[in-house]
Amino acid sequence: MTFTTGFSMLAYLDPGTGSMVLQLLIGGFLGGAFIIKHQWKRITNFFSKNKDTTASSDNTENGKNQATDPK
Amino acid sequence: MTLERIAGSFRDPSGFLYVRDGMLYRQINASYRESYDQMHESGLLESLWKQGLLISHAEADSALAQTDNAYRVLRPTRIPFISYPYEWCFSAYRDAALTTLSIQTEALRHGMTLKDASAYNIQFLDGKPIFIDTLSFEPYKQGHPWVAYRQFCQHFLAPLVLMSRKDIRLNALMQCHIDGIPLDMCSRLLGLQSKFSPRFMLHIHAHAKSQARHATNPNQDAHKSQNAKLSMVGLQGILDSLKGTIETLRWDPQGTEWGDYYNFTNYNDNSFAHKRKTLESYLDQVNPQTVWDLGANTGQFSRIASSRGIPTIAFDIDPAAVEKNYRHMRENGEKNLLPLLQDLTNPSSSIGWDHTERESLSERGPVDMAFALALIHHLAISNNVPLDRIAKFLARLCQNLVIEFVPKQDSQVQKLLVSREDIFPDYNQNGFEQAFSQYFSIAESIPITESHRTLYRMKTLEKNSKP
Repeated sequence: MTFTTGFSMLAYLDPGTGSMVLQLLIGGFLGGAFIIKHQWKRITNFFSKNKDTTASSDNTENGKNQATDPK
Repeated sequence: MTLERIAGSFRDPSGFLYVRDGMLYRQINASYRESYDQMHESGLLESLWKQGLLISHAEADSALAQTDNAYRVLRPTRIPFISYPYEWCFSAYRDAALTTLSIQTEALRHGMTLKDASAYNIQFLDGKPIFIDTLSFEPYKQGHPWVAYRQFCQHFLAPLVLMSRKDIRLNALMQCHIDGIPLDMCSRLLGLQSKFSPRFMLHIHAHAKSQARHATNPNQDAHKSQNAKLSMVGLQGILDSLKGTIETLRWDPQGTEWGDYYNFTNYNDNSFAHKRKTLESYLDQVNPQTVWDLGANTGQFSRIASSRGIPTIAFDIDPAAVEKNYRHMRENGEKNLLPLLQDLTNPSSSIGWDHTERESLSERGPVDMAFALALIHHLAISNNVPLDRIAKFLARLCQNLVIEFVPKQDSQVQKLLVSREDIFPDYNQNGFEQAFSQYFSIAESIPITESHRTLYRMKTLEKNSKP
């Protein structure tokens, strides 16, 4: 079985051998970049979430203080 | 019973579209059974419908099938006006590309993949791009690259990059290349500078090189790669990179301030309001189902029709005007307006196999009502088209016409005549009425207050209208 009869047997349009081969070549690199990007997003989301939580708890505390301030 | 196969629906053996007694149907052939069932069972169909990414359909009676190998017959929602990529402005094209990528990402989540990525599979419905080919999905096979990668790059990436980086008018190349802009051509047109962009380097330049390298002996080259696999993460990485590339592409009209783009210098507030009111009264009288605004600029008058719920196409030759109109339409969530590029002196022709794959502008008509506002002087004077020929063409496009006659005294016509000989002795109101009376009956004509212009309402004579 060749690449042509393997990968492209399902395609009703010619996927182009060059286009298929290129994906195999760039897939590893772009896949790695994709993982790093998502992990980075998770990290930044985690910290921004923490920051938000801290900020909102500060606000709540301030709000509470103001509300209970007897003056 | 009348039956007609849709001329552009023949490449995919999974099924085809046809019109029976005025209703649009899609036959699914037995060969597509597995894929169609998986679309249902995996939840992909429901998910795409929920997100408004795929045209909805109802399953119809199987007795309506046209051939013995039918598995199902569908009745898809009909798109009021089929538009083509060479008629889309930059942002519309970009939205269409991103929609295709979103659909592929969603398909992968459900264990399926797009087997084609033709720009002709995207249409605009209710002001948004939508995928219209329900038969474009197939089960994802682990390790397989995306079979539609080549087509996506040729149909979406290449035109968008060229429009953004070289010249906004280059989407016209889609008219001469039915399967998208060849990547070697795109690579050469982009030139050296674009090779410093890693994304352009991969998806355009290296892609074109790879196509050329493997074109001579695909079997042998392919054999060497038979054991290579592309992981799901690799595939996601490629899609993410394509998305990132397209998202960073921009185009804004240069050398013109948008705010001043269309100043109605020959209209004061009164005449402008009168023109608007007259147009409204003409719409009231005809009550059209569809409107084409020919030479719509940024759609100011098109919106008089579309805001009444009438599906309206706003055509203009100027990419900046269409772009501005489209952005306005998207920002305001307008549902009945579609701004498109159209050069009326060289309108979209019928192209593709047997001249029938993509319809010409007139084949997509006739429309119930056309507007030709502040247009006639551009056609008659700038382009030297005789008045009777303009009338003949417009009679093919519409059943009813609202046309503004702009006489020579008007400052806009004066501007056109300032640098050339006046070879238009018949360009006057009398000559205009005589020429148009050959193809239309003039129902009303109202001079616009405080201007030299007259707004006509005409009805196409029976002998001229398309059956």
